[in-house]
Parts: sequence; C-alpha cells; structure tokens
Amino acid sequence: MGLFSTIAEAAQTQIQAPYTDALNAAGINLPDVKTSLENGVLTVTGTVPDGETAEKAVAALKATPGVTSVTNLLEVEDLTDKNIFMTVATKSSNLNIRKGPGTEHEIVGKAEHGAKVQLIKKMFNGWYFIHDADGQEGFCSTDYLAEIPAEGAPVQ
Amino acid sequence: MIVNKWKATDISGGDMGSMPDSLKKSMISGISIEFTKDGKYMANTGSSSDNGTYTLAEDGKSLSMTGKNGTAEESTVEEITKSKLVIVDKASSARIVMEPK
Repeated sequence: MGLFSTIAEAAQTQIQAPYTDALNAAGINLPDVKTSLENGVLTVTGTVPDGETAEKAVAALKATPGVTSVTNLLEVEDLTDKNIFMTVATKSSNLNIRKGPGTEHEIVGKAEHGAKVQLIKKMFNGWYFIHDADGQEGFCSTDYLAEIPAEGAPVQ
Repeated sequence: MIVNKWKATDISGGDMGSMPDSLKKSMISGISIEFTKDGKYMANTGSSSDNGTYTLAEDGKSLSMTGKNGTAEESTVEEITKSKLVIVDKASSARIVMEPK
C-alpha cells in the first residue's frame, strides 16, 4: 500500500462515516455503497438488492447534515457478463442517453434509431446503464429498447 | 536523514483537497511514519496502518514504498532535512509535510 494509499483509505472511511451511520440508523446495511459530496449534492453509487431499499437509502442520506440533494446512481444488478443486447426502438428519432437514470438528468449522447446497445447495469428504478458500438455510455429507459437475441461477444 | 519517526503537520492535494477542514485536522493528528535503517517503514493513520519496505534514491529525490499488499508507491521528495520531510505522491499528487515525532 504505502503511506499515501493508507491515508487515502483511512480518509475515505472517515468521509463515508456519517453516511454509513445514517444508513445504519435507518436499518440499512449496504457495505458496497459509496458516496461523494460536492456542493451539497451527494452522489450515491453501489449495489442494492431492490428499488425499495434504494429509496429508503436515499431518504436516509437526504437527512444527513450538509446534504441538499442526492443523485441516486444505485444499481440492482451488474449485467456486463450477461451480454444482453437491445435495439433502439424509437419510432424514428434517436434515443437520449442521459447522465443519470431519469429524465431529470442531462442528455450526454444519443443512440440512433435501430442501433444496438448493450445493457451494463440495471438501475434501482428500472432504467439501464448502457453502452453502444460508438463507445457512448450513459443511462436510458427501456421503454424505447427492444430485445434481440443474446450474443457471445460484447459491443466493440 | 529519512531514518526517523515522523508525524504529519499538513496534507493537501489528491483526495485530501476535497476533505472538510475538521476531518483533515483530525486525520493529520493521527498520521505518522517511521523509516528504519534496515529499509523498512511503519505507517499509521490513527485508524489503520501499513508496513513494508522503502527505497530512497541516491539523489534523495525519489522515495518508493512497497507495503503489505506488494504494491509499490512512488513519491517525489520535495524537501528532506533533519526537521522537515515533504513528499508528494506521484499517482495522486497528494502532498504531505512531516516533522520529527
């Protein structure tokens, strides 16, 4: 490890402590969940068993001093190894790829109608973190995706 | 000159830059490291520790520490005197100022 790695690890533990305490007080034990606070916005990432737990976790974290809002990036399942591909099934327009799992998040890219995307993570609210053949990554709703048979290799 | 027990007086840069001041002060008060003649070090943060081996370059400008997990950590030595040691982590740019304990 070394001196700096040891310090960084200890600092992370200290930084996470109030949020871990808040989750524990709410009866939620999520050792995999990580948080980072910037200008009062707490971003929470990691894996939760279901959407209900995610909502409870966010409610507990919102009540933590210094937190004005929470960006919920909690996922319920990592799908990377499952090689699940879907096609963009909009009527004709491109599909918005967003910075977070919800329409309130900024659009960071667009997947063309008919393009193939791979599902990487299933998020707490049913949205997915995807990537496409052009290397774009972000979040989208499955309302505009249609299933295609699984393939052996990921999108290149 | 590095062979000594050192305690931190300041940390900055890297992950430390975004740390609240109160937490930073608390962290600093717990950080110490001892470099021994036989090329070993023992680091302590107050809540965790690491030990391993170190190598100080002949020109005194580079410090390499290899800890328990076998990963080497490379640092630049900004200043080294009997009363002050300042090192900067090459990977994270975190900087630590220390004085003899």
